[in-house]
Order: sequence, then C-alpha cells, then structure tokens
Amino acid sequence: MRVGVGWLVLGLLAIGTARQIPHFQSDLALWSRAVAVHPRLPRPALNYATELRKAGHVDEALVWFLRAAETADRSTRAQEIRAGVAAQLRFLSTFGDDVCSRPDVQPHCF
Amino acid sequence: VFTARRTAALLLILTALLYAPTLGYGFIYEDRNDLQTFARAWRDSIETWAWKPARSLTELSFALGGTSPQAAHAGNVLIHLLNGGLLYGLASACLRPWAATIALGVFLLHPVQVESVAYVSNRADLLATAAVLIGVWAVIARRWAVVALACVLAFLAKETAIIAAPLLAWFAYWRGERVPRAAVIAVIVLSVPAVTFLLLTYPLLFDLRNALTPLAQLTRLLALVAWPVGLTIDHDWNWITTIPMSLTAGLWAGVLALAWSVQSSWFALAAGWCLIVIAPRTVVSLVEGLHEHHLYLCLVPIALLIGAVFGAEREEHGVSASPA
Repeated sequence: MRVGVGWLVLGLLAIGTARQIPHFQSDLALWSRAVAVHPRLPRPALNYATELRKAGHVDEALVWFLRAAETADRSTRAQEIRAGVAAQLRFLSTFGDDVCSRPDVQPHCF
Repeated sequence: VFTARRTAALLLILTALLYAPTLGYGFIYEDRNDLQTFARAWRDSIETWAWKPARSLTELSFALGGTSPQAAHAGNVLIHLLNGGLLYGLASACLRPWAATIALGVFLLHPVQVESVAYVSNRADLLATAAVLIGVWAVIARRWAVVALACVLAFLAKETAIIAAPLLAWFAYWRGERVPRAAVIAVIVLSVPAVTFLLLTYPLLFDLRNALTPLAQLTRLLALVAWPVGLTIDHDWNWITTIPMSLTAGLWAGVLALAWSVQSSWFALAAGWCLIVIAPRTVVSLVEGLHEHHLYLCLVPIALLIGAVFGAEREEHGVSASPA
C-alpha cells in the first residue's frame, strides 16, 4: 500500500517535471512563465518585456516595461532595473515609435 | 519482472527521456555569458597562471564539453543521472530496495530540480552535489582520503560548496562513524585556503536579519518541495518570501529541537544538512537570494527521508543508517 502511494507520488512528480521543462526552452518561454507566476515582480517583467521587444511585440512590451519601472522598488537591484527599463525604452524610441515622448512613459526613459 | 533494481534503471531512463527535449533547446538568460566566461576563464587561467580555485571544475567541464547548447545541456542531464546513480547506491545501502527506488525517483523527477538541470548555468550545483555524494560514499566506506578529495572537488565546482566538509562531518556524526583525527586535521588544513579565498572575495556580515532572510527563503523553497506548484526561475526572493522573521526563527528553532530529540532519524539528517547548505549565505552579504537550484544539494537527504517513509531501514546487509 505504502509503495503504491510512493508510485503515485513519483507519477505526479514526473508529470510536474514534464510540464516544467518546456519553460526553459527559450528566454521568451522562461520569462513568460516567470511573469505568469509573479506578475508584480520587476525583473521578470523587465526581462519578459525585453524578449517581447525582440520578438517585435512592441505594444505588449511597453506594458511590461512600465510594470517593471513601477515595481522596481521591490527588487534588491532597483537601480539596475530602472536603468534597464530606461535603456530599453530609449532603444525603442530611437529605432521605432518615439515612446519616450508619451507622458506616461517619459519619466521612465531617463 | 519489475524488481526494485530494474525499476531504478527504468527511472533513470525515464528521466533521460523527460529531459531529452532540452538537447534541442538553446541557451537562455545567463547561459551565454556564463559559458563563455567559464570556458574563457579556464583558458585564461592556464595561459596566465592566474588560477582561481572556486568554480574551476565547472569552468573545466565547459571547456572540455564545448560551448554548443546541445553539449552543454547533455552535460547537465548526464551529471544529473550520475548523481541519481550515486544517490541510489547510497539509498540501497540504507533503505529497503523499493524505498531506495522511491528515493531515487524523488531526486530524479522532482520538478524543483528542473531549474538545475535544464538551465545550463547551474552546472556548478550539479558538480558540487556529485562531489558531495562521492564524499558520502567515502564516509560509508571509511575512505578518508577520498572524503578530503571530495571536499576539494566540491569547492572547485562552486564557492559555497565549501560546506562539503561540515556536511560530510555531519553525515559521519549522524551515522556514528569514528572519524580518524588525521582525517579531521587534513580537512581543516585543506579548508584554510578555501575559507581565506572566500573571506577575501565576500565581506562577512554579522546581522540577525541577514542570517534569518536565507532561512525564510529556505522555508519557502522547502514548501515548494512539498507542494511544487508555481515553480519558475525565481528572483527577488526577498520580496516573494513574506514569512515574518519571528515566525522563521520560531519555526527553525522547533525544527532543530525536533531534530535534536530524534538525532538518528532521517529527519534530523535532512534538517541539519539543509541548514549547513545555506549556512554561508547567513554570514556573507549576497545580493541574490536563494533560488530553486540551491535546493539541488538539499534534495539528497530529502529524497532519502521520503524514501525512508516508504520502507524501514535495512539491517540485513549489516549497514545501519543510525548513529551507533
């Protein structure tokens, strides 16, 4: 009986592992999972936004850049997060839409 | 047909199959930097004689294995399977056959291990655990020279694996082994340069809050072992871990009291082991918190503990897992 319960536990663990592994397939998959689990943490938000920007999903990326900037204080590396957000927003403004001219984005560009 | 040993072999095959897709994955996050840095660090240290001990085994493994994603992922999976094999040998010596197989399954298949295996940058944890498991074997076989070598190898794999010596000392005490004085002196002498290196690298910080934060993070991570839901690549653990410091202190005081009252139990082994693993983080100031991959080494006694739940210790082979 106890061994049977053990096999049930192992089966559940194997299913959990099988479901967890694909999250490490790519940076986009990794950070998509991270923001799904912790939507209010700045570093996953910044990294997810960066991957979205690279994939060409600029509008969605902008939402997550702003989320990262707003929640930066929750990180032990708040300065680094803010600098990262500013650099990415300036990159967007230079090579795409001038997002830094928008009033809600401008404070986070510098 | 399904003997415990054959089933253990099947678990190893199942693990290899589960992780097989990672061989088709590329590098993620810090992989590119880490691999290039590690491979270059090994080459540079040879060319310039500027050898730094900590992580040089990890650097060597990347330099030897190549920096292609496939080779790097395959390396991680192979080391995970090797660690599983070492743990199974240990479990077989201490537990009934089916319990040993379940312990192996928990170690190989637990979802919390995915971050260590599928994320190439965590190679250091896999190698350090391999060294510690070799050391555990050596304690059981009373090969004290191999124990000392295992401590050195663990430190060469990762800085914080300096805890290999106290970890193996705890295991030897837990088993009731009488460690020869020469072995103790040898390990202490070998630890001096490693401790000196770490003290020069990381400033010491004696602060109660700094000491309790990793404990709170460990508590949260252990909860994920018990209930592995919501796993991800974790950062900003200081924020995620909302367990109050007073509760953390009380909880671990209770765990220690319970472990002390049942010193011979697998629970005591696991509790002491996990506390030793995070000990360096309680006295040095690290910006990063504990991540899931820091649990990889902790999963060794936890898997044995879970295995023990499913089968009493074996006596017939003359191997007693309890202290004398």
